[in-house]
Amino acid sequence: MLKHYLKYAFSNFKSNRTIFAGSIVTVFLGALCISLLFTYIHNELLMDDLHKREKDIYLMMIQESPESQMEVCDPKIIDYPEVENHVTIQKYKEGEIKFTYKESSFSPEGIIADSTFFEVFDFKLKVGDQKTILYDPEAAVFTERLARKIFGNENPIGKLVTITSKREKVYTVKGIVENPPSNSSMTFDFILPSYSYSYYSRMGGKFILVGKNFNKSDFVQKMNNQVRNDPKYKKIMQFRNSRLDVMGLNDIYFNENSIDSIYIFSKSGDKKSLNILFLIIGVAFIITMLNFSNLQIININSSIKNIGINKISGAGCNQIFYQKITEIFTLIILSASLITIVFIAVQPYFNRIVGVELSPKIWQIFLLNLFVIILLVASAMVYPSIVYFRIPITSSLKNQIFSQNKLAGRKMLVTIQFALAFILLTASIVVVRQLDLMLKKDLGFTTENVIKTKFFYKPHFSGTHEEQIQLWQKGQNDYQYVKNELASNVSINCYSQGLSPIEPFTMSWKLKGRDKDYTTEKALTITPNYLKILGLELVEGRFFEYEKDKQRGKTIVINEAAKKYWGINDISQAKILNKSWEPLNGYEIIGVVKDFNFEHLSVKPQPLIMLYFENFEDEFLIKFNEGATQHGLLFVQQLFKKFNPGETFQYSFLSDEIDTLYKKEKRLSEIYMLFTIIALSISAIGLFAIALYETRKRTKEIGIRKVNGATIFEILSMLNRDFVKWVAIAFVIATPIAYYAMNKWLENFAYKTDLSWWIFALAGALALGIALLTVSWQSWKAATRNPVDALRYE
Amino acid sequence: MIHLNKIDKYYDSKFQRTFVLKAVNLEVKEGEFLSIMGPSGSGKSTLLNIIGLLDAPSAGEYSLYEKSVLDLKEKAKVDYHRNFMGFIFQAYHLIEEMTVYENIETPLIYKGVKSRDRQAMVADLLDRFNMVAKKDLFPQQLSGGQQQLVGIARAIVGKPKLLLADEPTGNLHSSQGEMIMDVLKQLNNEGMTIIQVTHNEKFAQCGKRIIRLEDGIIRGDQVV
Repeated sequence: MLKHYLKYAFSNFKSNRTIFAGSIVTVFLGALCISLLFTYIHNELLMDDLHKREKDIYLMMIQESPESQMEVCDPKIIDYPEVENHVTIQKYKEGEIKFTYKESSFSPEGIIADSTFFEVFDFKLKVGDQKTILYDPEAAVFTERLARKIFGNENPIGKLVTITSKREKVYTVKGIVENPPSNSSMTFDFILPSYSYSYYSRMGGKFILVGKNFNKSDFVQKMNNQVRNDPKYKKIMQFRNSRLDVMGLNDIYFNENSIDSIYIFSKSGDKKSLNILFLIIGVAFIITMLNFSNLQIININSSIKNIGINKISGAGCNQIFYQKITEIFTLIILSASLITIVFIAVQPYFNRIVGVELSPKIWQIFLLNLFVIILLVASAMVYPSIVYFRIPITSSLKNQIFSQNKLAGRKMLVTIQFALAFILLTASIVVVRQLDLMLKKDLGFTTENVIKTKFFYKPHFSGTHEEQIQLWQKGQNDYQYVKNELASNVSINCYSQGLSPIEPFTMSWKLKGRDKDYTTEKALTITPNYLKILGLELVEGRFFEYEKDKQRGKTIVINEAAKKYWGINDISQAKILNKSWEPLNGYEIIGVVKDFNFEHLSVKPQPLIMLYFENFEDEFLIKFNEGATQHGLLFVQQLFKKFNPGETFQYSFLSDEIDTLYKKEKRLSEIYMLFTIIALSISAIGLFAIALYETRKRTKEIGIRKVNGATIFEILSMLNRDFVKWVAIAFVIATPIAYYAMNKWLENFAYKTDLSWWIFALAGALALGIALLTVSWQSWKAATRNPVDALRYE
Repeated sequence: MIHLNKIDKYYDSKFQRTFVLKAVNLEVKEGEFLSIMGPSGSGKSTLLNIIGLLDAPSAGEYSLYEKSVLDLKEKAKVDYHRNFMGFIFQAYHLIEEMTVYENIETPLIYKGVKSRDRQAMVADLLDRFNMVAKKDLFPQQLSGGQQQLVGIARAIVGKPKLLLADEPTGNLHSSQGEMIMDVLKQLNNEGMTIIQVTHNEKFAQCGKRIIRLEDGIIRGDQVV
């Protein structure tokens, strides 16, 4: 029986090739979209789920004043019964700690952790005992990928590696840990035991693992009481007026932007984008479902005679049903297999677009796709199957199929599809335009031909006092040499040191003599040339000058936003306090620069404080002369090699860094465009199928009209008029929705692109164009046919 | 075998009731070969469809072997279609995507006949109609007469007692039509009850009895 059903299904596919291909492509595109996005969303939602006790892990936080940002902290005050275990982690970014093996050196990102690391977190150790490995002060734990990078195919265990940061020390590779999976918000390539010695004085973050009787608010209360009353803590400035708090690990991912996590988490999630993606999934689902539904009704139309014949040959309702089910299942299995193959093929591209390393297993992909398709098809088949069983045999044999009003229902489906596709189309135009606006907007500073690079690493101090002084002296000489070289090279316009304008750090600041408490503000450490290299504009006072100001002096330059924020009228009278560095006397304001957009353009310029710092390990900003970038780069590279033999020269263009700020929007716009195209193609397939069916049905009518003297053009316009009408209705329905949605989305940005009428007109014209193109192909074929053929048979 | 009593079939439109069949009484005995004649729109096909349980009358009684078959459930109707009657049509109504062999086999599959038995039964019929060489062809590759032969083979492969033919020769040349009528006659001689609808006076004469319909009313009933 099954064999017969299958045979029948395949012959049905063969005779309804267009419908069959349309159905497969529809399901294929729709389900592919949905399962790709779902894989991504699933990964986001299950972030850090790899830790078995994710919900029991909390991170200690401190808030210096009610208005300042929460910061990760490491108070040494853990002695509570509800805390089962705890671990402190210091995270170092790429380029901060250098690993040297034989001739080559690497500076990967990694963490320095307490021995309890593997008890709190469930990263899997491939080699090494998780209980003891971090107790060993000589042991280094590498990820698989770092081990491969450094040692190639050699066995990494037992290899000696020199690690340089503040000091130099030789470690032995004793453990291999699996690469952190895509759903880990913490990423690293090495783990070093904090037992070995302290690196630099970076603060760590303390995670606590709590037991069953943990109550968050009680615990926070208890902690704060202890800090306030214990004389030991009262003295520490950091805790004065501050409030301790904890944050659950599963809350951190989506709130990462509102806390200062000192780099511990390298990823952050965005609930808003996720919601948008959910919406896209919904739209894709509806469009696909409607289309499939439509195609199936058409399929019934063309196979209805066969159903009648089968019924007369003795097929019962259930046999017809099984037959249909077999057909549908064949289609489902076929498309699921097809999607699985394509899914694996497009996964790398999709990963690049969404910026996540997803790698689900084949059977997972297959099952997911199978599930999505079954869901799609099942919901799409509700309407057709009702139609299916209602048709009486006698009329099915006569090919009398649907009345006009049923067709109107189907055209409604197409209208909805087109309305949705139109909304997506408008959305993607707006998103692309907004992205374009942000990328092209005048930021208030120039990034042209400016690179960011580093010449020196933090010096490591070892040996005797004399040796150290010698080392320091040599460092100062090298530093001076580099500065002279940079200043005298013809390719170089000017150079400065300091943080990239888009990477300020945050600290607690306050206007002296004002009630307003400390708030978290952004700050940059820079040198006097910073004004010139970025082309900043001074509106008041003066900028830092080598002659007048001392590095790490008590002078600052602020921006207009800061001046306004603190309500300063006369800068010479105002002093700004820094909670950690200058809580008493404060800094003197020597100048005010015009606001420039150092942050994402979703916000207007925020208050910014600039301090004069000159450290030889700080980053250099170098501006090349017009057209001399190649030469200049070569020169800078040689200079770098001179002091860092065997190391790779790393640099980045400032303009590229700014582009990466808009990665999220870029991603969103790419996803939008991709799915708009898919939605439009699915809708076009639906329209095509309907047009095919419709014109076939009207063949006789067209013949009669032509016999009575209608021209081809008249026939064409008659056939197209109907479809144009439905697309127009879709346009009318969709425009206000699209307008509202995009207006809402644009509220996220301080600088927005305008929603001018032509965007809607363009989207409308595109949708109409696609509709006309698909329909006209059929209409043209019908209209140019010889009427004799059309009228020969009844 | 077939007993129709005061069968009405009508359609209600807004202002009037249009009768397709009106008070049709008909008795058909086993082994009969009945031809239904009449002009277009006289209700011939509707009558045949009612007899074939494809259509329900608006009023009246219909019984097969003294058993009323008017309010049968879907399942029971399917049983009648499987075991009791076969259909042939003017337009053959073969499944175009299937070969001759598969077309003939279909009813047996639905009947649940085992694969080996099916092969034997289909082979018998192909042999009988001299179509063994054509068993792997598709309907479109055959002439009209041959297609109708396949239609007949499909209708009788399940060994029905009653064969209902709706203008079986309507689309055929006269020589092919004669060939089909010969086959029907032969089947009737073997004991099968046949009811055919036809326009063709000559082919109607092939049957043993002719009834004439006009505007849904039986105007004549003659034995040939």
